[in-house]
Amino acid sequence: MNLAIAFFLLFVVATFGLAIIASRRAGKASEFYAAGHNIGGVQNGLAIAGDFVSAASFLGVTGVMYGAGFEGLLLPIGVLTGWPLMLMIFADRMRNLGRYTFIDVLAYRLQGNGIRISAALTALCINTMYAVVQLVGAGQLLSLLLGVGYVPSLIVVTVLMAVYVIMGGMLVTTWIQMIKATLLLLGGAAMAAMILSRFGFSLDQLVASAVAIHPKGEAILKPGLSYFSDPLSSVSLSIALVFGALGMPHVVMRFFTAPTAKEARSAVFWATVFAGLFYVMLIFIGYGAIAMVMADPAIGAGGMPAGGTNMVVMHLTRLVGGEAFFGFMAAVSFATILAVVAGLAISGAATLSHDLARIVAPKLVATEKDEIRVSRFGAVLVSAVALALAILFEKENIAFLGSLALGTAAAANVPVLFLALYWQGLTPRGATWGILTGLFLSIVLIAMGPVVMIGSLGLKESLISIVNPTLFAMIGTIVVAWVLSVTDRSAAADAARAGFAAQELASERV
Amino acid sequence: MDRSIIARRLRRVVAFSLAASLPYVAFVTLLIVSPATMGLRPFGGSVSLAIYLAFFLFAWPIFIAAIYLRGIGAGARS
Repeated sequence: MNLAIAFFLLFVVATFGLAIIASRRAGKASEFYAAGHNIGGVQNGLAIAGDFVSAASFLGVTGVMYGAGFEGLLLPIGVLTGWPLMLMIFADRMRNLGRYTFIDVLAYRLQGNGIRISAALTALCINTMYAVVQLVGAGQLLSLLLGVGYVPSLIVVTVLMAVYVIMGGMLVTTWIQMIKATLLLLGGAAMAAMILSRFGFSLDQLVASAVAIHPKGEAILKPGLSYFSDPLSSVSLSIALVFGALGMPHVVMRFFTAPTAKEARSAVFWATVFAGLFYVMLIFIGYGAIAMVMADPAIGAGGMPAGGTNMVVMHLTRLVGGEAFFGFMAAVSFATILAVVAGLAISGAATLSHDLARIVAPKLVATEKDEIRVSRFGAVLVSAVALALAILFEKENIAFLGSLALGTAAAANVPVLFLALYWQGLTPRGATWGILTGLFLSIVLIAMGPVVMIGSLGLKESLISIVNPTLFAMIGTIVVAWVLSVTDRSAAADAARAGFAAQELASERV
Repeated sequence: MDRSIIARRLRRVVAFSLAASLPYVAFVTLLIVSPATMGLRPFGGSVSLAIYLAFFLFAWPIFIAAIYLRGIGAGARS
């Protein structure tokens, strides 16, 4: 048995042990969904950073840098840019108003079933899209690691994740996320140091080597080679990256694990620190991938390495650290994916049982135990749908697929959440149709664009050329939410406006 | 209105403005305005200005978040 498989099995056994310990505490809804509202700032910060320092970041960004150089760095820069905004406009207010899901926050003063159903639908779509991103990475990673096929690898990941979530809920998900974020930070730092050591600890030498070997030459030092090739696409993708994190249900859900608003703010600050540190390492790892993997005649010379762009970083780990380091980083990458997918499954499960089942089938969730049972079933359902879609998107770069999920969150959730928190005039009708407009425009425009029509369906042309439609979908959400709110004269609208002062008071608790 | 609330809200506004303006101006400049300038090598080596800017853009959210937390903390204590 080689070292990579040994590390992988060690990780599976260790996390399974954690799941057993956590399962003793996951009997109550507050424990299952929100880890008992008892996770401190630094730990929560690690877990939140872990949600973003994911397969899309580590595997996907390096892959984009391998093909397009500097442009790959713009993806994590965009995401990190949004985090101070998350701290300032959302973190403490969400913590004070919500219980288990971000839909609780919307429903604080916006009464009626419409808002819960529309927001639940959006949350499930976003969770599924982001889970697909992670599963594509997991399938390719396990194929490379274990030598089995892509689909069997996906099934292994999905089953493992479902077991963890069903047993340990949010608590085990948070523990795994913290451990994995720590290991990934340490592994990334070691990797960056080993890469630099090959180039005399000179960034200049490293970049010069990358430019010399890359077919695009000096063009890899500036944007424009791939996703940021024209101003409209650049603006739209930037909006998706900057605002996406603020609307991701599985990230926002982490605020509810904080005991106080102060701890929620502290968590976002530490998450920013940890993620920022990791992203800096990607500068060295990305250019190191070009300089070393592309130059290696056995791996990258003359074309794409085995596993495609998403696996470039794994080849790099083997080149800089040998079999042992490859095994360690493969296990850490796998842990990354597992933890993020588990978080997404918990979030999807909470939406299904806590928000949707209460309205559609209240008898199914009559007691707390029933609700948790439905949640566990929901986790399996979300995973199964993501598994099916991951098979379809096998060839896409996962950093970019991630940006589409972020884009949908930015377009549908963020404007309505912002208006709900800061604009007295928002009514249930405006919020409901605003969210649905954002979701509908995002999905339809992505489906009509090149990612689906050319990349997945294999057609020669797409109906529209823009790859990330967040700009248009977000404008649509804002316009619909505003128009339908200001023209709303219903009793529910009056109640929502009247409830704003009380909501503001509750949301500003320090 | 209580002075501590005013102070907290003021700090929130200042920090929000900083956060909302600086990064986006930098980000948009980096992306769109002039890719040609990104080829500049400020220290005479191989590394372009864009890559040095990336270090800055990864660091500033930490800085701005720290300022904001201090502001909120001071507001809460006053």
